[in-house]
Amino acid sequence: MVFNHGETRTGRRELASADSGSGFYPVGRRRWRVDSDLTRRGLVGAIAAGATAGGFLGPVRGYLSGFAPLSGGVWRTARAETPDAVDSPYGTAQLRHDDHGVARVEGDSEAAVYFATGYAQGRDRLFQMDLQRRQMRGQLSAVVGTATVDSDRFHRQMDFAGAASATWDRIGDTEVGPLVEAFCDGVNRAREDHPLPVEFQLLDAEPAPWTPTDVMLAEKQIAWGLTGNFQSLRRETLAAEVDPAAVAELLPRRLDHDATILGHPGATESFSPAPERVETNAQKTSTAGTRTPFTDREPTATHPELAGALSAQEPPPWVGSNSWAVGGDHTESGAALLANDPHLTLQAPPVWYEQVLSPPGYRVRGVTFPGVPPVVIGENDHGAWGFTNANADVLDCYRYETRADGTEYRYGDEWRAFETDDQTIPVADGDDQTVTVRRSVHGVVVDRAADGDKLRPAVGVAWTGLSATDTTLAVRDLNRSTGVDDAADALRRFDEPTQCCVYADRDGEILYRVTGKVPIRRTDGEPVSGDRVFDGSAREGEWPGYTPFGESSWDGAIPYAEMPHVRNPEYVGTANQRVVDDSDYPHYLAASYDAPDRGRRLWDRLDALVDRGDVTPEDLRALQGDVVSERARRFQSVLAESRSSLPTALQSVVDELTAWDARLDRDSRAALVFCRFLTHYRAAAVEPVLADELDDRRDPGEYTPNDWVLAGLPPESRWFPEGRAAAVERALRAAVKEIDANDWAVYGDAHQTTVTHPFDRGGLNYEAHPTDGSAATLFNVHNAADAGSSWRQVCPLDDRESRCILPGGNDGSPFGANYGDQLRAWADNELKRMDRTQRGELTVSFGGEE
Amino acid sequence: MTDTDSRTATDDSAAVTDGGAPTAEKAPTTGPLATLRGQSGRRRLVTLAAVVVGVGVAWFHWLGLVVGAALVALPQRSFRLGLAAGVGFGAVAVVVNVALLVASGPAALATALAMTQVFGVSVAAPLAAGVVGGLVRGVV
Repeated sequence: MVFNHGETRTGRRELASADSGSGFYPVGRRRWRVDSDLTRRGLVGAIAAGATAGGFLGPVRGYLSGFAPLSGGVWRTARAETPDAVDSPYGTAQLRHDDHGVARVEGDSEAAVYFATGYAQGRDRLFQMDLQRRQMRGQLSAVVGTATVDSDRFHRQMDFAGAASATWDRIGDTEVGPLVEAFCDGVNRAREDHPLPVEFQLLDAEPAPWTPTDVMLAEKQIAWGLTGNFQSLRRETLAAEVDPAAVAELLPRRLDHDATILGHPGATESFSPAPERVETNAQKTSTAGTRTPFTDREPTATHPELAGALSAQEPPPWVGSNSWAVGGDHTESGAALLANDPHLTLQAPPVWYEQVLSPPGYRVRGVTFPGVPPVVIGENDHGAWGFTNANADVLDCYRYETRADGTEYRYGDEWRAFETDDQTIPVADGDDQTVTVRRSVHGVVVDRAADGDKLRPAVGVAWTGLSATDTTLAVRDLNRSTGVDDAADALRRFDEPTQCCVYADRDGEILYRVTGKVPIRRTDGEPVSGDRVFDGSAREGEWPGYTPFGESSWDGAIPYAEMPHVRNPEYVGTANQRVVDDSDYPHYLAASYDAPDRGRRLWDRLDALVDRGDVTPEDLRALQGDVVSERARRFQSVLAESRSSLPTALQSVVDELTAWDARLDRDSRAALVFCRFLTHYRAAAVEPVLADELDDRRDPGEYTPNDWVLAGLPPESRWFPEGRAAAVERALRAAVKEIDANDWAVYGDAHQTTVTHPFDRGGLNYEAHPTDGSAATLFNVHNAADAGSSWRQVCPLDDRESRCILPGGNDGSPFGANYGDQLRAWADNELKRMDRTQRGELTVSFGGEE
Repeated sequence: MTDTDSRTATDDSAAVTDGGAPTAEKAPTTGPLATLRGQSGRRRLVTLAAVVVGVGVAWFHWLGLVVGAALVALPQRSFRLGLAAGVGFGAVAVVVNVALLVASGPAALATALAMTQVFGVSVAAPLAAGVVGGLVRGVV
């Protein structure tokens, strides 16, 4: 045996063997060996213990808790199974999911069905509900971080939560109150029964229980998303920093077209308000022409910080919808037909949740916003309905004379103290922020820190949604309605948002009606239009009967009977265009409407279909898929007029575009060129001039006109610094260069369904599919494809099944088969069954209380 | 024929030829663990049982990945084999997790794979935990 330890590992082992076996070595050396071994063992143990302990520290703990195999929250979510049976204190009910993940609920009482519906939504969309709630309560930064502090500041200052609380105070005492509570109990039961959705694992956050106030808050969010508007501030800023004429040129209140919803020859011409009131009030509140509303005083620009903050929280300008109905005299079956597709954010999962509710007495199918129990758009056994945005003006801005360091404001002859509440905005991974929430007689005050210049740093805001509202009652009544009269009664209580409702029943009746409360503003008792910033201290623009954060009488709003409506039109088409000509209507209704591209096309197509006769549901589906762009046709004129000034190479591009049929088809080369041209033309025209004229701190893009106005700017307009042809040339060159650089061949190469999750992560985003259409076509898919038709339904009001589609899937879990299963069909304008039966696999049986 | 190795429990020649770390030199030469390490059949059974127990613990907490790796490492005849067994246990955890995803539905695995960072952690964490757990073989 060799005792030459230290030379090789083998030698050491041999030595060890000898050492342990014979005790040959001196004691001292032996101790060294033992100590060395212990040290090594200790070191190995320390490494193991340290590494394990490290797992409990910092971000590592979160990663392991969320993503470790088997125990990780993400994987628990993926494996989550719903219990077969769930106790319910509200009676028995059954929840089924069909092949598309549509929740189908029936039960022995309405409360039992609402509980089960809450369970279904809590199971399928809990994160989406919580995210929306956090946004509206100004609590996003607590989980997102500093990026959302501005959003939180705005939402807290608008005090949407206070408005929701006031609304629940009112709704809670009605017969719907207990139903809403049952729904919330269902949501919270699902929250307990299932692992938290994967998004909570990624954020390392947990949702609070869902409450009735949260249901009301969801209504406020919808209403804000459709009616929040600070255009009056932009107009005044443009007048102050450029000139009043710029307002009329770039942000006109009325667009020159004849595609109004009411008054369309042969279709909706039956609308006839009292003529004497039209004459009297139209003169007082006229919004036509180019008159600017600041003629009595110098316009004041809004501080860029405030203007930017408000613009960021406004609904995007593209929010819109299509809806139409055709009377039985013009259809193949003799029954009415109805179609609707609201244009909202396209996201994963979709903004809508699809459900079928069958409590005793009625069956209803359609979509709702997650967190809201009844069907908002859909169909029951008696009729079908849909909504488009009416663009009514239900928000006013006020300036105040203040004193005492801004803690008091003058209101007529008296000085009042703002109601203030200093709140803390928790910020993940950052310092908490504070915000002062102020209320005035008009509603709230939104502000940003001023830096000493003479700009408006604060603005009072009145909005109908700050009052308690009855919309929850109205929607539940719509679900139970048994015909057009019931529906019309239900709409009386549809306080917000202001929508164009199109309803058709199985008796052949059709109703078009603008819903919601629209204030009649009064200054010194006289009605005035609301497209201006009012002097709140002088009591301009008062809203009689409106009580923010309380119950309004609405005595001063446009009476229900005088809201725009028509009963049994031959057919009706709504696409966010002007509801009615000002000269035909007795009240100020809207500051502005959407460009009429879709509205004109819709009327043209409906006129042609009705002329042909025997209209079918397939005709309506095809109409929803219409990709002809009236916007493109307007710009074809601009291109043709500029052609002679362009280089030869670009003239051929223009020739291609002017010969094009203006169809936004995915396989069209011309559609691709036009789309990219338009993007660059927007940047080449107007914006450079505004960038020179406006405060450097502003985003000139917030003050640019819509495409209808842009196409109508004449060649000699001051908004083309080098002439219109030069702007066209620049835009065409940029388009061609961009297309070549990206190796795009056809429209579908650039125009795809890039529908993303709020986290914008792989696995959560939807797949990209080439698709057709644009923001200006009835087949509505915006260029970035992040907005468009958020739901399509075609409803024949006879024995045939309606059909529908979602831009994604009904299940909010990305691990589920129904997360995005409808997206491809949606992109291809295909529809699925929209039956109201209780079919599909039984997911949960809800038992009555023992 | 018993399941006892031809080498005795005190014959560390296997550990030597396995190239084990010095800690292997002081592995118990007597006692149940040493006996177990010398009995290949029983060692395999115990290792299998350790995998089951480890997966069971890991089902409830990520610490189970370390515990499971340690449990499967302990019966191994050398430090190196213990480390390998620990990593192997981590791999088993990955495989079980993937299998459960597949069983959860056709979209689950595809979604998991698309969540590259998350899925990456689910693969890396158990392998790292296997190493950490396997180190225990160097202590006991």
